[in-house]
Amino acid sequence: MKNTMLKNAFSEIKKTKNRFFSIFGIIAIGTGFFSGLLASAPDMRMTADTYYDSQNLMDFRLVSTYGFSEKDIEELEKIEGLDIYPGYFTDTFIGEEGSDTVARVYSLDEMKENNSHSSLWLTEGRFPENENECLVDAGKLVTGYELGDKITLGGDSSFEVSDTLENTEYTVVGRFDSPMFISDTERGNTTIGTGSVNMLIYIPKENFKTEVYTQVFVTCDDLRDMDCYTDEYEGFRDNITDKLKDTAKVRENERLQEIKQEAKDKIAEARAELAKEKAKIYAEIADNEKKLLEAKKEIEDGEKELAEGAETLKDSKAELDDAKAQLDEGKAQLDEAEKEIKDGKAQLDAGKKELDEAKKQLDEGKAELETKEPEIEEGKKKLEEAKLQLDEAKKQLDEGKAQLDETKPIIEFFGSIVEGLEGSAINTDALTALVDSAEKAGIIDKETADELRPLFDGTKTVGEIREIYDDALKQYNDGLAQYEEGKKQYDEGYAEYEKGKAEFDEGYKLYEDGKKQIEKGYDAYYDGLFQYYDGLSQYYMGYAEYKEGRDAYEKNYLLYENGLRQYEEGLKQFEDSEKLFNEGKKEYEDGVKALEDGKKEADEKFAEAEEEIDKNEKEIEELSEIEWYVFTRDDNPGYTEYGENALRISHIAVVFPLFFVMIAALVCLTTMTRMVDEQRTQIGTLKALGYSNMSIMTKYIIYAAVAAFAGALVGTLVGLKLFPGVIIIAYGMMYKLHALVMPYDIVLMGLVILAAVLLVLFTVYFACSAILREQPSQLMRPKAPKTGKKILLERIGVIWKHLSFSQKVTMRNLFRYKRRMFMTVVGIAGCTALVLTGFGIYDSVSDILNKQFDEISLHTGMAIYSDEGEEKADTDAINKLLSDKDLDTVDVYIKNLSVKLDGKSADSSIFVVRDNDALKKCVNVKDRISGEKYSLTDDGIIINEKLATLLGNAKKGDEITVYISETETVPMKITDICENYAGHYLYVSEEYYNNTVGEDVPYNSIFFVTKEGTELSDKERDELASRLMKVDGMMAVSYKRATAGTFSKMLESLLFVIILLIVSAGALAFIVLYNLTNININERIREIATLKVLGFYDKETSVYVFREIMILTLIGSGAGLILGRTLLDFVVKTIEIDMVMFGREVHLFSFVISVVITLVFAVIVMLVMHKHLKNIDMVEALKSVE
Amino acid sequence: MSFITLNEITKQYHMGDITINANDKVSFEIEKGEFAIIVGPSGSGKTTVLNILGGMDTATSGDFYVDGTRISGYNRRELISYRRFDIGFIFQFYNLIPNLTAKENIELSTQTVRDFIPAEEILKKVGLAERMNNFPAQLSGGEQQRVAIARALAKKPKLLLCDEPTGALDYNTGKMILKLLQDTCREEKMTVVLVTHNSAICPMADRVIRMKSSKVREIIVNENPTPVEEIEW
Repeated sequence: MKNTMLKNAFSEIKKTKNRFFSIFGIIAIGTGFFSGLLASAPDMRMTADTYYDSQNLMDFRLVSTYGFSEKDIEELEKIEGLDIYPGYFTDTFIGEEGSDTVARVYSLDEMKENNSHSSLWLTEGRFPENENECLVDAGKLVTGYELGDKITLGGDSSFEVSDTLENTEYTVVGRFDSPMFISDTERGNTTIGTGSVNMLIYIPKENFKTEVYTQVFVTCDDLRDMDCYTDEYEGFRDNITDKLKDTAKVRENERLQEIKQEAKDKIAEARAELAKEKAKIYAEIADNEKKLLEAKKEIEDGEKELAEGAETLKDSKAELDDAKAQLDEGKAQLDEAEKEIKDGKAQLDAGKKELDEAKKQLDEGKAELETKEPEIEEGKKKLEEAKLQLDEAKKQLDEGKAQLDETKPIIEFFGSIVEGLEGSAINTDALTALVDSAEKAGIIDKETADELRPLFDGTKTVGEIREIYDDALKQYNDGLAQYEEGKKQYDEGYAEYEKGKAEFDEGYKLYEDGKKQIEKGYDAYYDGLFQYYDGLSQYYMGYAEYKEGRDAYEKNYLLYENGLRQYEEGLKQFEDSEKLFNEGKKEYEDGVKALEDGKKEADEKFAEAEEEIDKNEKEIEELSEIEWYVFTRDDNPGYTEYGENALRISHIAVVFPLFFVMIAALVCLTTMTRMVDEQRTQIGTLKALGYSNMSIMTKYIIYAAVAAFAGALVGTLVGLKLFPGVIIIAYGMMYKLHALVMPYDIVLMGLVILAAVLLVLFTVYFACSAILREQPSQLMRPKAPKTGKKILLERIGVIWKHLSFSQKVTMRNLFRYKRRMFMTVVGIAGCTALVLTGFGIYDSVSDILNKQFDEISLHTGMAIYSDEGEEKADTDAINKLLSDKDLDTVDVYIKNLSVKLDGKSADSSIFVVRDNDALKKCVNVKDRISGEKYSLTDDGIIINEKLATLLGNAKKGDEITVYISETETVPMKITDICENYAGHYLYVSEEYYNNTVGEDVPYNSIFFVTKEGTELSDKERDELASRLMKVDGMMAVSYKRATAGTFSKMLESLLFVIILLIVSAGALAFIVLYNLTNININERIREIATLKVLGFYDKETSVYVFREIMILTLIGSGAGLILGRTLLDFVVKTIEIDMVMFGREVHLFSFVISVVITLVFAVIVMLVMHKHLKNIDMVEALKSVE
Repeated sequence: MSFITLNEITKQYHMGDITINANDKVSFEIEKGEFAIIVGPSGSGKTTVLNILGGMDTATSGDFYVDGTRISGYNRRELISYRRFDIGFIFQFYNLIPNLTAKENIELSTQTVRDFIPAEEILKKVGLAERMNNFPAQLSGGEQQRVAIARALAKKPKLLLCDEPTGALDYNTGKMILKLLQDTCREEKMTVVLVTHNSAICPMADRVIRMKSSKVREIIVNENPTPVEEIEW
């Protein structure tokens, strides 16, 4: 049977997927939302804890007013279970001189390594490897620094960082997030600049020059094992805090003594040194005085010398002038002589010139004669040569004549022979004998004979011999002719020679005459020349004389010039000496003055030094107590805030989803009821067949349980990741936590799934129980149609008559199906309520911002100063700074204290004003509802509304107990209760304070307000703050805008959560509407099919159905607004933290938008359903009655 | 052409791979003012024919004409208008809106057309003038069916389609309803098409169309229809 039912159930699931999934969906959304939100806060804390642990975040940070000595550290290390990490930090300005940007510089313990405590999360870059490298935090406040940039740590005139740090310039090598500063925008407070730190820097610790450690980090393994933000952690932490404070108390005293002793030693040393210095300086002064005296004497001597010098110079000048006059005279004489000499010389030169000319002519004449001499010689020679030639020629002619005469007998002989031969033969011997006879006669010589003999040897004919004779005869005749000729020529030549000889003799005579004349001219020339030389010698003698005079003059002149130069040099020397003297004199005078000044200065300085030492000595006596501050993680900016945010989420997580689950249950109930109704016939049959109620129900139980289990499983699986994820990531935008821990909490999942299944099973039981009570016979018949009934409205004829037909039908339908109407209205109301609650929370929180900072707090800012001991602040200076800025000021005493009423206590601030009316300037004290303004009286105090609530709804006239100090209480009477959102205040008048406490009011702050209509710019605010911070004894300056800014950031992250709520509520609204509309349509499917058969157009059909759904949606939304308002009040009161009162008003916009969102979903559902309606199959719907 | 002409109307349903013919080439004609009965056993396809004729369903193929107009091929909106102005439908289970009184049920229908018979008048005609303001649940089955008939007639349809109008009624009441329908047909010259599995009432019709296994088996034109009172079954 079980199996059958199981099968039946699963086949039913298959058949009715839509229904199954609507239960599945609504359960999934409900459980997802519920478990997700529930897990969000623990997950947020776990995420933070995981990150803190992974970075070994410090549990304590100790700071002392005198730093920590090695001995302090030793003492701290004696506390068990703690790890002590001494280190350094300093606050400094960065960038240019006058910069307002303040950095807190921490020490990095090891080069190239992360600190082992509160380790940094490097977002980029690397750890420093050199002393001049640094890390800069990666927060939003730090802009403009890239890796590799140089960063200069500096200070203004009042703050010199180089006293603390070796290097002041660093290269940025990395950016980091620090677990100590999870808030992205807060870096803590400082006493320099504007009072708040803008960025964090880590530098290698070697850079710190400080003798003592400036901070000590403490971690504790036991604490590390605990989850932070838990009571366990906080309790254990407080125990350790006490231990640390015990050590502190001991060390504070010991250290003070140590310091005092050390300081005393130092003062003694300083005194000794001062005395030494004093002696040295005064000795020096005396020495200088002596030197000056000497100098004075020297100066006087110099003065005298100078006067003498001047006299001498004057004398020499006169002498020089005389010499000059004489010289000039001599010069004139010399010049005259020179002129004479020069004239003589000129004459001489002219004579000489004439002589030279004569000489020249003579020389020329002589030369001419000399040139003629060879001519004459030549002529003579020629004549002699010609005579010689003529003689030769005569000789030759004579010779020729002789020869011819010789030859003549031979020829004649020969002729005679030849003539004898004519015509006869040759008789050789005869002939030869003739020849020989001739030869012997001597008529012919042997040679001729030898020549003639061959001719007659017979070889030659007579002809040939004749021929030879003819030739020889001819030759003889020719020679005779030639001789005649030559004799003629010789005669002619001889005549010529006679003529030439006569000419030459004539010329020679002329030459001899010229020669004689020239010799005469030379004689005259030499006479003149002699005379000239005579004159010249005279000239030279005169010139030598002149020259001598001249040389003497020049020598004297040179002497004079020398003298003059000497004089001038002397003069210059004199002037230089005079100048030197004057300078020396001035120097001396300066020296005198300097000595006097120096003396005075030294007196003053020593007086001052003595005073300083006295003061120090006094100060040591008065040395303020050393104070150790023990900071915990709570003091890390953002740490507590994050915890509070988690708390806020956890409050929302309880109230909100419960409501969500209620709606889910409602929808499940409706759906299951519908399902059971639909199957009444089947149930009847089963019943008739004898199945027990339980076994019939099993099917529905399985069906619903499967849907619920699956839905819850999926819902929790998704929800446990989605919601914490979204929330943590949303907060991650403000808080840098490099972790995301969202474990599946098996217990939570199991409980949620179990709860979901039980809830659904309950609805199943509820849905089935009615039907199972009926008889099977009844069940098997169709359910008797519900009797149509007149509705109440019909009885009011006036209205009914005026309704249109379709309106009437709608009205009738609306009231007929009351359960359906109820379900729809409740479902929609729930969704609207959820959406409204979401917006309402936002309104409430934003009202804190708007109302607190715009309407209630009217001040611009406040300056808190010290009013105790030596640090007492100069309030006049503060007031002046403020009034310079045209700000109104109000003196206020503000202090945190406890108040108590009827056993209920709360922390609050007492706010005492000097002038009752002045309160109005800083705070708008009024009633939240009536807006009535209250004024401060001297009869009692005004407290704020939330404080009154915390004190068990304190009323006007109640007397509350105020803890003025830890031990002293004072009763104060409430005169009025006013509106306030952030913090708690007791507004007290000066007189009432005096009367009740019996002391003067120890004013400690000045509130300042801008004049009507003016506002300080950001720059002005920063400037004012840094000026105020420079006033001694100033503790803090805060601006309302800055506080508002923090709130607005909290609001921003809350906005995400609210969007999450709204989206979830929207999803729920959609499913609810869809489901209800779907059920509505399914129940009326025959009716709708009938309308379609009757020819209703699609739109008409939809309007017929939707009109009532729309009306139900409107009614539901309206109801939702009321419901939501109530829910919101509850939620707000739950999530409100003690220190804050959330706004109590919901803005009109939130109401409107909630309704609009619901309606938008309704419209979307209708559009989807319209399609569904269009597709309803009339035939199928009308086939049969179930 | 006849007042109603069906020409080879075929309706197929696809169930997975199987194709079921609900109507297989159904053709017949009905003249204006006739009282026609489509008779056949369960599943013979008679209701499908009626649904197609009434514009509630569309044929897979074939066409049909009513009063000379081709209805097959009408689009969705035209079919709605056709149902709205030309057709009166009567169901076995009356399909009255339970939340409306008899009169309102009729008004629901008549408010959609221009030319109609006022609710009071038509109710008087069907003999329910006194029950006008009663809700369906306060009326007997016969009375409810009479209201349904009144609702159909009130908008003066061209054609009255009745799907087993007596199926949920006892013998006498059923007879009375049939008489009302027959009278309406005769007096108002209303063309009535009635679907039934009860062949006993066939003699009252002017025309009987027998269907079996999705097909028209026989069309009998009855020259002398028997008045309902005389029929016994």
